[in-house]
Amino acid sequence: MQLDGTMNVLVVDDELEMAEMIADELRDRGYGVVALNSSVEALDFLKRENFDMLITDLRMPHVDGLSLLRASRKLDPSRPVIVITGHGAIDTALEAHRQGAFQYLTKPFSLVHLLDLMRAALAPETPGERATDP
Amino acid sequence: MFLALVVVAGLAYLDEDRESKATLDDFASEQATLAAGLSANLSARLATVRRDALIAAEDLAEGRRLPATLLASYSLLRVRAGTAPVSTVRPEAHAMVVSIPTQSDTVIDLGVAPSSMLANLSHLERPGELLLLLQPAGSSVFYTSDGRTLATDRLRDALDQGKTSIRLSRPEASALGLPERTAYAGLGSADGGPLGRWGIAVIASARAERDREVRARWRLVLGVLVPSGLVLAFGGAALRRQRKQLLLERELALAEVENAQNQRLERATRIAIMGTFAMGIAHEVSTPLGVIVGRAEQVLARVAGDERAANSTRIILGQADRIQSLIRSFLDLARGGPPALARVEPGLVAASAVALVNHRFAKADVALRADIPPDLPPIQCDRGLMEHAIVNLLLNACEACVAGGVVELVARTEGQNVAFVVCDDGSGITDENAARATEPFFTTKAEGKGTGLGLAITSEIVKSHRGTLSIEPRSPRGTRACVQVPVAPGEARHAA
Repeated sequence: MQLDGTMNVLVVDDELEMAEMIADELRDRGYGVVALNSSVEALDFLKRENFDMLITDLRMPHVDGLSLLRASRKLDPSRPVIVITGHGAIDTALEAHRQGAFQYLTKPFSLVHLLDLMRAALAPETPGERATDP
Repeated sequence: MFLALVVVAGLAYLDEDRESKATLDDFASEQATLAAGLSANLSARLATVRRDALIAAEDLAEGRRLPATLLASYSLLRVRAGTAPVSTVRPEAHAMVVSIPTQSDTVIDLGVAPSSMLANLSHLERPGELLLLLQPAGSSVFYTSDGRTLATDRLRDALDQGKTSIRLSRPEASALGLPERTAYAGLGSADGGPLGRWGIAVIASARAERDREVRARWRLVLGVLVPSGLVLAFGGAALRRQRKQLLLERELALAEVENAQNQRLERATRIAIMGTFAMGIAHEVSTPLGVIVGRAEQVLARVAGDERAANSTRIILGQADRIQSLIRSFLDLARGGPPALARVEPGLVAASAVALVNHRFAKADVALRADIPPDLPPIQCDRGLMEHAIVNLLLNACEACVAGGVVELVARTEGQNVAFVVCDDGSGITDENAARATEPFFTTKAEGKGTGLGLAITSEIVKSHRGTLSIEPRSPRGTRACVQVPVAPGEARHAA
């Protein structure tokens, strides 16, 4: 399942349990992972560190997932972003997709599905999967 | 109805008038007939006078004594020398002197009392009702049966013209000694041969007929007025009752409409509450459920050799999946279907919200003014939920106002958002309460008046549309609430 062990992924969810669960799985797959429950901190990390992918929740206090997505797109337009969201925010997820997110996942989701999406997002030969810039 | 009464009264009056005229015509005709009868009688009387004169002339010429009956019949009886071509009548006080030529160059004068000419007719007279008048030939005056003379040109002219009856006015009747009421005169004449043509008039007061006519008119007036009054009174009462009934029916219909509107509003509120809660629950549960599913998947991968542990983990995954399905079903049920996100004109949202609460404002006597420009960019929203968010703000504003208050709803473009601003001039809000306004179950309303959920739900709805809700005091008084929701994707560039 592991594609490239050198890949660094930033996982952000205001529920740390969720971020840690995803991080554990990705670490097991050989990814370098930073898991955060603060979007403000995540913004700081994005500016300072070089991540190959951003996985973020949408509804978070202070800086929401859409803002984080926009910041990431601005800093590195080629960096794929996968957004995860609860039931009540499908429209926000769709909006995230429109604003350049690679794909969105509705909680609860299967890790297998997440890994499939990551694989597709990071595969250099399938750029067509990427959402176009708004 | 009034016109019908007037027509009926008019027709009855005309009929009565015709009847009355016919009665008077009959009355006049009766007098004419009586006068004709009297004329014949008078003719005979005149013939008697002439015969008596000749008898008297013959007796005197032959030296005979005149019969006592003859002497008693005339106030004057004399023979004088002279010639006269024709008989003449000369009126004197209380009598007439009839001069008749005889064959022996003498003239015989007879003093005739008018009463004697009418002697056998005067019993027909009734004082104050019926009067007989005699006009000797060649005389311009009329004699009554008691010897009075009366000069009346109308009667004389009518006799000269050969009329059989005439109507006498009240003054004319009064001048003749009759009651001052209309009277009729029947006219006749008697040919006295050498004594000339004598006239006779039967004057009868039509008092009885006129009284009958007046009574008939009063009967008619009462006959029309009393039923008309009754009809109008009963009709008016019936109309009033009908109007009262219509008013009551209208009030009932209005109450029914208001009730229906309230029910609609309550239903919409219930749906919005359930939908909002369902969304909130779904969202809140989705994260822990996601952790459970993820962790279970991780465990499943690690217990590949332990079938019991693997089975247990699969059961955890199955149950989590069941919870997810339940939440989805609840969400669909509460919302009446999956979320219906669509591009919606903000004006439609505002107009629907206003329509839902209009009756509440009317009842509270609070004016609701909406200023919604037609060229606002569309927003991406669930129309029902967004409507409800605005409805909640409007109802809060209405309830904060006293009678005569004013609430304004303004929609406008603010950057990349459409803002719905609700301002009232009501009791206002403190900064502290404004900060807590969107907390569930927080309310400043009296016990039993508010659930404390309205603004919490509005806040949830606005959040689910990526919008913001702000509540703040308004200067100099009242509250200002503002909902901002993003313009629909693809429309941002058009937004002002």
